Formats: sequence, structure tokens, C-alpha cells
Amino acid sequence: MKLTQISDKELLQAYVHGNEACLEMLIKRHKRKIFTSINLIVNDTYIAEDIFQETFIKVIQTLRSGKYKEEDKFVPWVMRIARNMAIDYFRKTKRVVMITGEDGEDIFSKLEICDTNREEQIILGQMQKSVRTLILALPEEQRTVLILRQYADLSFKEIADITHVSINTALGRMRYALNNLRKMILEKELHLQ
Amino acid sequence: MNLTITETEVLRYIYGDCTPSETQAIREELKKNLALRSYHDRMMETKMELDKLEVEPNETSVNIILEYSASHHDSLEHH
Repeated sequence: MKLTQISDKELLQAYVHGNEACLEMLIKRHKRKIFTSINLIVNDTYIAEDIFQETFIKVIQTLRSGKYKEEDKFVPWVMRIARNMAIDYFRKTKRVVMITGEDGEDIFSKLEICDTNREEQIILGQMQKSVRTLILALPEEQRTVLILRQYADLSFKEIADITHVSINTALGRMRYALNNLRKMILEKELHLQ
Repeated sequence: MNLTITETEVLRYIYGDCTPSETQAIREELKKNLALRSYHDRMMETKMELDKLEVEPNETSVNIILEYSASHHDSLEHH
């Protein structure tokens, strides 16, 4: 059977028994949602890369030490670790360090721009930055639920468990988050499809 | 089934959080309830805008993780 057809649970079991390719498949399958979530939580691509690496190193250590509980679903478990890592980061630094160029723009966002379709990418980059800024302007409780549902792809039940609230509270926060975001997007006259 | 369909249920539907029977009931309601349909369309539009923000980690980060795993394979195997 191809690795792409194997469930997360089976990949985890095979990895613990020595199949390194299974870890690669798990990362490939979920890296986008996990990294986007971390990136939005810490609001810094460079730090997000560090936390992404540290999160998976912790995942590897936990799996190899046999401490992973099989009843935990993979992504919610990884997101719980990532969220704790991000909280630790904020505790240690007590502030977010932005490295900026002469014009005050985040230097790392510029490094990602390729030569091809440069103008298109700059416009897309500016729009993404604007929406990202709006997400960061949400109250923390709403922002957390939005990130965990929209980007980490956790169910409302899983979000309720991680954030220690009822499902109805998680749903309510998501409703407010989307309503507020929509209002802000329209106010800022950003493009809506 | 007896499900009262509100904006909250529509939100769960948009994010694929409903059971098959709930999904069916919500789809039926959306056909006839214009206010809910409008809410659904507005939230879908917002969600699509948010979808564009997805980014990938640098390939180097992934390689560092895989190298760590491979290099610690033997030492951790005996735990």
C-alpha cells in the first residue's frame, strides 16, 4: 500500500517501529496547516520556522520515548505542542521582535518574493499581509479559535478541549471572529471574491 | 431529524463539522431560507479570503527535522 493511503495512526505506528519515511509523509501531509497556524500565532515567519522545527523535534522525542497516547489524534496533538511552544516563546521574550528593512517592511517577507511574476506576488503578498494584520487585530480568544479551526483544521470539539471551553463557546467565538473579520475587510476595502 | 438550524449550524456546515444527516438537513434549509443562505454566502466569501493566507515552512526546516529523526534513530530506539 502507498504511504499516501495510510492513516495518520498507522503512519505513527510504523514510524515508531523504525520507518523514517512515515514521518516524512506525516510532515508532508500536515506541514501547511501546522506552519500557517504557528506563523499566525507568533506573527513572524523566522520565529515560526524555529517553533515548527522545535515542535516536531518534541514530537519525535515523545514518539520514541513511548509517551504518545494513541487516543490522541495527530494534528490536535501537534498543535497543542506548537501552541505551548509559542506561549513559552512569548514568556521568554515578552515581546515580538520584528526585523525590518529601511522602509520598515518585514525583511523576511521580501526574501520570499521570487523574480518571476514579481508584481503579482507583491500584490498577493500585500493582501495577505493586510488580512493577516486584521486577524491579529481580533481579540485573542476569537483569534485562537479562528486559527485552530481555519488553519490547523481542528474540529470545534478538539478546539474546545485544547482551550478548555465548551463547544458552544468555541463556536460563538468563531462566529464573532468571522463577523468581525468580514466587517474589517469591507472597511479596509480589501478584495472579497 | 429535528435540528433547529441557526447561523451556528451553518458555520459548522461550512467547516465540515456536521454529521451526514445534519449536512442534509442544513442543505435543505439553505434552499428555502434566504437569510441563512445569505449568511452562508457571506461566510464562505470570508473563508475563501482566509484560505489564501496558507503558507508552507521552508524546505530547510523540514530537512532539519528529518535529519534529527534519522540521526537520533539508534540512540532513542533503546528507550
